[in-house]
Amino acid sequence: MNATKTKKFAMAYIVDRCVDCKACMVACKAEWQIPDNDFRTHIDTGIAPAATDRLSMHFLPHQCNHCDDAPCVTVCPTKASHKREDGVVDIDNRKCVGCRYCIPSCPYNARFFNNELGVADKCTFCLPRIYDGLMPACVTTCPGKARVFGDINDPESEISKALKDAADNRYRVWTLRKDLGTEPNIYYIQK
Amino acid sequence: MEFQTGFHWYIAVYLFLAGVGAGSIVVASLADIYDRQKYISFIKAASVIGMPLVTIGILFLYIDLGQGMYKPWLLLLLFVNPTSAIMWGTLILTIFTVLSLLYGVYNLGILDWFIKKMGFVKIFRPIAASRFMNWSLIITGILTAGYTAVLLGVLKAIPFWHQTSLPILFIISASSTGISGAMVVKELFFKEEAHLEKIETTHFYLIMLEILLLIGMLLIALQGVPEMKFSALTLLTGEFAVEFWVFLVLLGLVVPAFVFAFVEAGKMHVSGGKLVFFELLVLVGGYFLRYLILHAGVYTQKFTDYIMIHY
Amino acid sequence: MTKCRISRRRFIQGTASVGAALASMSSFRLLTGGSSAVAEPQQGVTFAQNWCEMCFWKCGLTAKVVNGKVRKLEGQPDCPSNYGKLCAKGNAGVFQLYDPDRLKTPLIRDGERGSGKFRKATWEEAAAYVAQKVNELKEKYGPETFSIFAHGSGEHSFVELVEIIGSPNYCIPSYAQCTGSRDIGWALSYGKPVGGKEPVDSQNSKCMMLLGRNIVEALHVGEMQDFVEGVAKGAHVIYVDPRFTKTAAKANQYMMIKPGTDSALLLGMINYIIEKEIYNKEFVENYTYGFDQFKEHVAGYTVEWASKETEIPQEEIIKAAEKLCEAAPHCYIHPGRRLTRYGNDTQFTRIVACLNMLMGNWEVRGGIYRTIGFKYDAPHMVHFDKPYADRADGAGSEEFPLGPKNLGFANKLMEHIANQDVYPLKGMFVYGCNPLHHHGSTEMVKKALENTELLVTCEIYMTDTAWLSDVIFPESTYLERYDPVISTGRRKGYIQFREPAVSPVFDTKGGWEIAKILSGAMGHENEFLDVQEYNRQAFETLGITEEYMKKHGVWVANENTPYPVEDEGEEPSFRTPSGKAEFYSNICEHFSYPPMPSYEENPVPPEGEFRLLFGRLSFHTHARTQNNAWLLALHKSEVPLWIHTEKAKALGIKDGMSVRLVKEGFKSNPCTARVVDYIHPQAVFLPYGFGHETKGLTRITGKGARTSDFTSNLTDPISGAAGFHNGFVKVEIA
Ligand code: SF4
Ligand code: SF4
Ligand code: SF4
Repeated sequence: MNATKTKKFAMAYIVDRCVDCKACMVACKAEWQIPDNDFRTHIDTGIAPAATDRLSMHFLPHQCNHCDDAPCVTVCPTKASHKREDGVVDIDNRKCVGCRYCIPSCPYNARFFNNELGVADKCTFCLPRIYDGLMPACVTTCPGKARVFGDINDPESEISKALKDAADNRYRVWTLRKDLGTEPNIYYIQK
Repeated sequence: MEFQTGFHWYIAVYLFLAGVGAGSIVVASLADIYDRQKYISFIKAASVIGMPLVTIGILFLYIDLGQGMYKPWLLLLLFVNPTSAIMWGTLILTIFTVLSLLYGVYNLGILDWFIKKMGFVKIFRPIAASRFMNWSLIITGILTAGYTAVLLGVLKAIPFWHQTSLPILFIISASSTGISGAMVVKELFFKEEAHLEKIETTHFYLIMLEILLLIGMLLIALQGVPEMKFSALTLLTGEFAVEFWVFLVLLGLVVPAFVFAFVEAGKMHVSGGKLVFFELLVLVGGYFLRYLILHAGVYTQKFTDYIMIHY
Repeated sequence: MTKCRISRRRFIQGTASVGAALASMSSFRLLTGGSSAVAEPQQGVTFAQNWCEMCFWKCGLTAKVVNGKVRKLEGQPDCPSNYGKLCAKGNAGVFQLYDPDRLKTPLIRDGERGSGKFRKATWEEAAAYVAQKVNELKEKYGPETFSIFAHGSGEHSFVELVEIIGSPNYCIPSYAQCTGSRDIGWALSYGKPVGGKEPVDSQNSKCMMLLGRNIVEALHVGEMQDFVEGVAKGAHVIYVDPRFTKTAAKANQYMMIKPGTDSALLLGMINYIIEKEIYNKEFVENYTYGFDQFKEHVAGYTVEWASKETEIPQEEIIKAAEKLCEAAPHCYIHPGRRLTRYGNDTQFTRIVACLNMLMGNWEVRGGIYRTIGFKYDAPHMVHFDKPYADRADGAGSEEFPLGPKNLGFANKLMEHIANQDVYPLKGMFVYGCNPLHHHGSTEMVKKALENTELLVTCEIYMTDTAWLSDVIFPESTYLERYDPVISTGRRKGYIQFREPAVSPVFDTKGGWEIAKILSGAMGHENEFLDVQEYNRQAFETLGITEEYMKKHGVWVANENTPYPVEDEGEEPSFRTPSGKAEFYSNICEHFSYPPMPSYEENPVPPEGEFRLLFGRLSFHTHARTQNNAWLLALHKSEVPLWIHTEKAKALGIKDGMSVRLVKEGFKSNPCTARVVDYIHPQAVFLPYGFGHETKGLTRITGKGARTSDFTSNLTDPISGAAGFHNGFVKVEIA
């Protein structure tokens, strides 16, 4: 009954709209001052094998999936990595010892080591921003409008609408590595 | 396949040293139970390296830490999450280190004056020399060696590590390298005549077992999910092939296996410098085993591969 | 044989309008001086309005300033250039602002040219030095000995400076090295140029055809947004390119064309469409000129022939033609952007325009919309007498009567400086551009630079050109300066505002302020207005307040429909001599250019060589952003060279290997081979803007190849613009 009260943040990528411009990667880097060559979100470019007669190329964004059963949370010895009420998997920088164990534990290659802070780092769905009434930095900047974000428990949110639209139109919707049972919260939508 | 930001080589060193240390103490404890008198030189040698190597290993772990290195109070937090393999490991390592310290002190007879002076003799001796001590060391030692593999093995994200055979392989390798480590120290510092044939025989079989397990693991990996296959291939033919074939297979396993086989058959006798040399080869192999498994594992499938399959 | 008669009056009107329209292409002609006095850094969070200067699309943005430091840039939601979005480059503007590699003080060369030895100077010292040199050269050779190459929002500061000195030789390279041929070709057909914000209505289009217009990678936010919107709505996208680009990834129909044969493809399609009579008859009959002659003219260009020339199967060509006609008039064939390919690009654009005419897509949804400009009586700042001497480059001369004098031929001017064959050209100014990269031949530019006795650069980075300069003035970046407001036209007409987000991080000044200092030091008495004062006057004329602009950053001033033909039943009209869209160009006829475009064969690379294609990556602009660490991180500083699998195999090149381009013994720095199936075997592709020589761009010095070392340097006979793609290279393992 109270289900509507708890938020559950999630993101969807409308794959057809992503053009691999990497604006999201840089916006995020700026927002979080991510050092070195690291990013909190990435775009994979996939090229269909040469054998097919019709060339095709796909762009798949990815970042932390804010898994409901997150391996990174399980393996974190200090509980710095934790799952919040609102669905966000966050890292408490004050607690992280920097043991790096969570980095290979993540099946989505979402984590990296922040050499400036000496802690593990990853997407936080732009935590303070989203409570300031803004969208995450990557969503805000995405020129292709490929990224949709919101509270999946709120039927009026952008993401709920996008997922409903996808279901109504029978678009393909999937999450990554379902087989691992991590219950990720990032959806891929493709026409 | 994409290379994930994995662990540094420090971690490989840690896995290796913890293995050698724990392995040597386990074997020494077994020998202790069997016939302390006969194997005393080996036990002493193992005591020299046991606890110190594990501690050095932990030091490597420590310098690999991020902010935990300059905010050591955060280390207390290592015990707060019971689901983390690191917590288990910290616990096991702490117990093992303390026990092996006591054991070592007892075997080498150092600090005797201190213990006497403090009047600990009555409590210390019976504990350190007890069978209970031996068995505790065997158990925690095996746990320590096994733990280094469990640490990797619990990560389902990395199929190449996520195999039951990995802890077995690491325990065997730890025992084998532990024997080698102790042998080297024995040859260098405890030169008394000793008849360690049983240990040498055990060592030979351990190496043979390790070879078989490794072959099995790779064969299974080659039939596994794409990442797993890719990891196996990086070892066999890919990026790490040279290290794999030269340092692990040839120098670390095959050459020692041959030599020890000849020794077993009585066709050869190695001792002194030669023995040290071959034992060192085993140690090199042990290090490369950790290093290679660590690095070959951390490849992930590009996520686009998952949609491309549908086309 | 319908030789049409046009009254002389209409004819002259037509010619004049081509020139007038081109004049409006130059970004703006506003004159100001400037001071960048900014208050002490404020504590807490503040916001400042600006437009992005990482490329030239000018996306509106708001800078977030936290405790006196710019932390984040975000698009202005209401700015029609970008509707709240920024690309990777735009987002990386923050890094540029605080980049330790920036030029930090004025510099005067203190050693051989190219030695990289400079001494720091004060502004007064550097200005006095330049003033003295300028006055000497002026005395010796006359004022027209100076030239200026300028690009960017502040370009007119230095252009005016050179005009004040008395020289007509100013060039905006975006004409000769980028859109010149396209705009002339379009203007010959439709009476007005395409313009810097291409008015193709992708978002409503049912079918779009792009020939090498790689919208997704040569990326401008607004244009790309429209494109993605169109794609998402299900438009049929036809993409033609020798290389499978990221735009191709979004296409329904990709055609790998033999490089250099695009005209053949289009002529084949035109022929098919006319033969089958599937063109927009109503439009062609009522609003075009010379169709019958054109029909006859293209009769020989059969699909079969086109297929042979282009190596594209006939069915594909027919399919493209039919898809377009089905969608007509809600379809377009993109006129391209940097159309400096084979030295005959004006006539190529004519073909594109003719195909568009057959679609009748003028000023309707999904076709070519009407750019809604916005004109107002902009304040006047500095008054000076127009220089008398003739331009050295020939723009607007008898040889190139259509060449716009207000933009100039950067390519030709540079050649004349290299050869010193018109009159002595001994002093050069460079503002915001980098001739060593954007000209067709580095060798020629180097020769020109050797001939100059004074080379002054105004820049934010130590570019290759700055590296060889005598005096360098460090400019404040767009986030540290005011600039005169600009008026921009897309589907709406709007005003954009720039204010500094922070005071200059280093000892730098805005272009206008520098021009003012230099003009004063040279002893000119022309008064430059302060930029803020200029803006105040502009706001007054516009009837808006500064507060409004500070809050919104953009003011939409004109919301007339961009589809007047569709929405208001307006009759399509064209400022051509015939008043119609011209298949048969009267202006061409008048100036003895072929009035109708024909197929011109382009040379093919000899055995063992490749045609060098180059273009942009979606996260770099020209040769300006390559040293930006945030952008470099996106490709781990790798410079790819695309080469076809078969060809690579023959050369023993494997994917990921280090390779070099070679031309006449000259070898480039190493690039990383990308061995792929999806590039035509005759071509290799190199991203533009790498291979810097300067030691001042510490992250990328010596990385990758510089295209201008290998490109061709052709001249289009009509527009006078350059042609780069007939450069042939060898590839070898490094
Ligand atoms: S900003 Fe949007 S379109 Fe660009 S790469 Fe990221 S998700 Fe794709
Ligand atoms: S995607 Fe990775 S980092 Fe994010 S919650 Fe899941 S396991 Fe953790
Ligand atoms: S397209 Fe990108 S670089 Fe160009 S103006 Fe817009 S945000 Fe800036």
